[in-house]
Amino acid sequence: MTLDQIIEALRTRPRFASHFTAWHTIPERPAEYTRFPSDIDIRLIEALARTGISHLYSHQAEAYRLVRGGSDVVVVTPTASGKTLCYNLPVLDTVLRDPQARALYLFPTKALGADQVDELQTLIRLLGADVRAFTYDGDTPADARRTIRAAGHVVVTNPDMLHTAILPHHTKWLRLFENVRYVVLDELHHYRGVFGSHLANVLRRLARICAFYGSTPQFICCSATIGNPKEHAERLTGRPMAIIDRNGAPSGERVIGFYNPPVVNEQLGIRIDAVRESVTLAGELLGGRVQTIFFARSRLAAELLTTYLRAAAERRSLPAGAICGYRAGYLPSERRKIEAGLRSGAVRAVAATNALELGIDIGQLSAAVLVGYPGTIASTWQQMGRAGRRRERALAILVATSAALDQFIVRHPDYLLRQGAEEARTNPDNLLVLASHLKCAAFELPLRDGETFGPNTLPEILAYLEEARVLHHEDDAWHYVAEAYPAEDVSLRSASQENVVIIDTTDPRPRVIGEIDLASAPAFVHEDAIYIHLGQQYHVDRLDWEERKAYVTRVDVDYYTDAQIATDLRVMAEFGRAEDAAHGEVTVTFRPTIFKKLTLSNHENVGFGTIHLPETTLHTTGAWWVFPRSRAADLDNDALQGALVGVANALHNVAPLYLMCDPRDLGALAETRSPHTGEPTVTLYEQIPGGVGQAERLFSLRGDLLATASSLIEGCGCDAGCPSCVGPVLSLGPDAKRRTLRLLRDVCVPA
Amino acid sequence: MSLPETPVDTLRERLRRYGAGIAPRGRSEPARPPRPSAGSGGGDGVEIVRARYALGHRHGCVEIGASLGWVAEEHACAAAGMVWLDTETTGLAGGTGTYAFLVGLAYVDGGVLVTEQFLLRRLRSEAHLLGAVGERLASRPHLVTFNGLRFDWPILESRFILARQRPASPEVHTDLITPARRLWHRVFGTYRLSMLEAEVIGAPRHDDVPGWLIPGIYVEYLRSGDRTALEPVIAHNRADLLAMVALHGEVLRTLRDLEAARVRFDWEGAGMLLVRRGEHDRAAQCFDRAVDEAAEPRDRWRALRRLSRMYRLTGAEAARCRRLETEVASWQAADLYRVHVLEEVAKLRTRARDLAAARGAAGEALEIASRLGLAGPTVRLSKRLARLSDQMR
Repeated sequence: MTLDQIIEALRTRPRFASHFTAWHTIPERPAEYTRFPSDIDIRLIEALARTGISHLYSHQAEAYRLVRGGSDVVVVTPTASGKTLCYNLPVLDTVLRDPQARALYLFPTKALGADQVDELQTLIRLLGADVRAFTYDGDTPADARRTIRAAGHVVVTNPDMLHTAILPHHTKWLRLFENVRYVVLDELHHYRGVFGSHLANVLRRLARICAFYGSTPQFICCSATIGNPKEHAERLTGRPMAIIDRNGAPSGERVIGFYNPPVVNEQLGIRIDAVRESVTLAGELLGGRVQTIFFARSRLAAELLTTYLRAAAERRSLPAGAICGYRAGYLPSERRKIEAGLRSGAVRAVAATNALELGIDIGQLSAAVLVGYPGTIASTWQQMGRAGRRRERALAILVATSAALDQFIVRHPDYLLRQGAEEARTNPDNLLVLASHLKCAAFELPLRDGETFGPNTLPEILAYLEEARVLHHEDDAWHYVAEAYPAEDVSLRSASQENVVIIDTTDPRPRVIGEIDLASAPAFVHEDAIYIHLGQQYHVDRLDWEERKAYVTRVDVDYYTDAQIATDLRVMAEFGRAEDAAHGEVTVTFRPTIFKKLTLSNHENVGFGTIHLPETTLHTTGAWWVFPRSRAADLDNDALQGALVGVANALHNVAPLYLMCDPRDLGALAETRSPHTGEPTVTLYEQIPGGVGQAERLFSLRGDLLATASSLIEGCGCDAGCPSCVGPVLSLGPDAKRRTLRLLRDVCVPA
Repeated sequence: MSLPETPVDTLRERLRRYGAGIAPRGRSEPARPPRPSAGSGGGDGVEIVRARYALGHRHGCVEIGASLGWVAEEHACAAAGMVWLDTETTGLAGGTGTYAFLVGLAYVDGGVLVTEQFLLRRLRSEAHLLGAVGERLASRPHLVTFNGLRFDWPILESRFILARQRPASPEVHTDLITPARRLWHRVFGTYRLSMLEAEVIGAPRHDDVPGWLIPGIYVEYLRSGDRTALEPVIAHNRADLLAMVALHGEVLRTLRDLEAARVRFDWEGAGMLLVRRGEHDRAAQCFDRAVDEAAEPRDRWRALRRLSRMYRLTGAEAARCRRLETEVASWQAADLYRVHVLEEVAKLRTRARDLAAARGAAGEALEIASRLGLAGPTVRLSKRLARLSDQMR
């Protein structure tokens, strides 16, 4: 079957047709071409002509023009729109004119950097000029490093290397820093939250070092569609940006289907599992030889998908290698193999997490199935953009889970189609992040009194660091005097700096199969948990918390495990307050209690066990809403608790609609009497130590959030509450839905 | 630029006081710090501590003059152009945030060994310190360090760039860690300078401040301003300088006259150093000794292979055959070593067209190899035997 026939079948066949809540077609878009700007070096034009490029897309020409004019730019374009030329063109043109000129490219992952160097080197070969481009990352052999430092015109690296290896040794990079003309930041949308907050500080350090060597590089940034690309780029780089957001690249017609799996329990609002249902839909695509990518929301879902898809492929007698999983935590060699398989066509379907959302070159696929709403509108477009070749029709299907956000989206597809993408938030002045980069900055060059590096609270932080014997103040400068190499202790990727290593001990020779961040470890690798990796189930035999090691053995069981964590919250400081709502600094304590065993087939509870792990504490920021006891005098404590949990769940469900974050980046807590407010209170807190600015945003959106939570619950088709709105009726009580709505109505937030 | 001079007891007086001239062999005299007068130096943030050592000064069982003699014999420029350097730093990991707060130099001047230690009393005065050090280095282009290629020099280079000074790189940089490791690592199980100082120079340190404590001591000094806390660090640095000069002499002396070496050394390592100096015949002698002294079959085979390569390099094919044949006759244990030697001998005999003898060697080697379950040699030797049988037919 062709893709057209498959689309037709999905639209008409009774098994599927009625569950599609909407179909939407994005028409084909023709290209907008421009002639090469007249001042581009002729060698570059000739080299491009040999690759078949005789014109530029309008956005590429505009980027060239603005960069040549001296502006810092941010280019916002979708997947596969030729954005790399937006920076390669001005960079190569400059190097051809001035062989001393240097450029630094930053990509969020090593894989992306390697891809880019390949592409750049192909172009350079055609140029026939002595231009050298190198990757500099953890895999670069020691003997090659000296050459790269001295002779690399374009150095391609990642923020982590810049942070740990290049900036702290900037004297070895003299040639680069004296002559750096451009800093290229690709996949800008990826640098949000903690990573973005760290990167902004790494760029502050970079600016200091460049200034020391007398250079002021221009920034060329590229981003997928987000709500605030200009502001985001300016916040990261600290520089005013010119924005280029008119995409001149063509795209084929894209058909988008919104699919809500059939209901199995009307009353409880339970639907067929989205993973299962996606595999059923996939049957058509696999049979029709349509290369498809499945995006799952979590590692767990990606692993389940891989397992189920393999079974489906086996029934269709497809070769074993036709189905692959792909997510962070796979070893690089595993990932490279999968990427190559996708390019060659040997891999038919990939079950990925958002690790594949980034611009890794795997070619374009014909269909994308999003198993669950990815959590942000921006991600949705990114993931759907993975399907679609230049001039061919492509299919994207969003399969809703029973999660609230999914149900909201699948019932209001217009929200997705009309509303712009969310805003990327970072908080470069997060105290923990800032302080750790101040150490690194002082290590690189003494900090002068009055020097700016972010906020004006600097002197206090510096004084603190002096007390901690990290800095020494002398005359007008702060010198780094600690022995430790500070960058090593600061991980840019996560707020917590430690991982638990997962070791498979099934075979005589133990083998490391992956890692998990410390915060997630209690939930996923507690003793007796079933951990799933590469579609294989592992039983956790022992978790050595002190050594950060989990020992597992391969098993084949028909259940998975789900951990319960008890949460306690204290408010440390209030940053802002309105009537019945506030935001500020909070401390959250997590105590793992028990885990449930649930069957793979229908999530039935078949047992439980105790988790013996220490409490963990999170210092972060949160926003809270107060529901005065006096306005719910008729509710007893149990009923009130049910209604508050309903509010907490509903707020937690809708908040990601407004924030560019994963639902798991936020935690929610309902208290019938908060020690801080003395009243029934619902708090949403950031899961990232110190917060990345989301709590403040939640506070400023407090009224909108309550209103959207109300409309979510009102619009839900269930009778008495379901996980898609207030939470499962079984755990909240039969009247929870009604009471939650009442509570929301009774809290009057001034408009 | 003029720098404050720290008056120091005359070397003669010190030598007399410590009885350095009559120190018995094997006993060491700790290098006592010269006593700078209080407050001298440091006014502009850099203090220079100077000491002079007459050629008769003994460090352990080594006479400094003798060490310098070996160095002079090796490098004609020793007197004028050579400088030994050792730094103390605020961290051991390197990188731009590591200060070299004490730079110790030793060089020959006016017929004596002079040590000059540049101490950074205030961090802001770093450029001043570097300027003074750079001036000394400029007139002495041959740098000698212990692990300086990896540690001291890159740090100093960084400091110079940060201070916007760009002195020329040394014309020659001799890092003693390489010969020290080759000569003594396997013998003493370590090649740390202070350990070699005890074992090779015979000058164990008493009350020496451990290197890992030094960064902390300096940071504490920056806070308290208590200069006395730095005394042990300055003494440590000066001891390192003297140890380096003495060790330098011992390395050269050992290589010059292997048989006369005072302390045990690693013949194989010495051979490798001699190979690098192009002394192939002497290297072969070293490897020859190394074969005899190796107890483990693996070490013996490695040394024998090096020896064999030397013979080939010098065209001493006959000597090579003789040595291998001797080895077959003398090493009777039926182990991996014998397999290797027999295999080599089989090749030589084949080349000499003594096919029957070659087959004998290969046959025995195969028998041992298959008994020991050695897959690679078994396959190789079977093929060789088959070829030999073909040729003999």
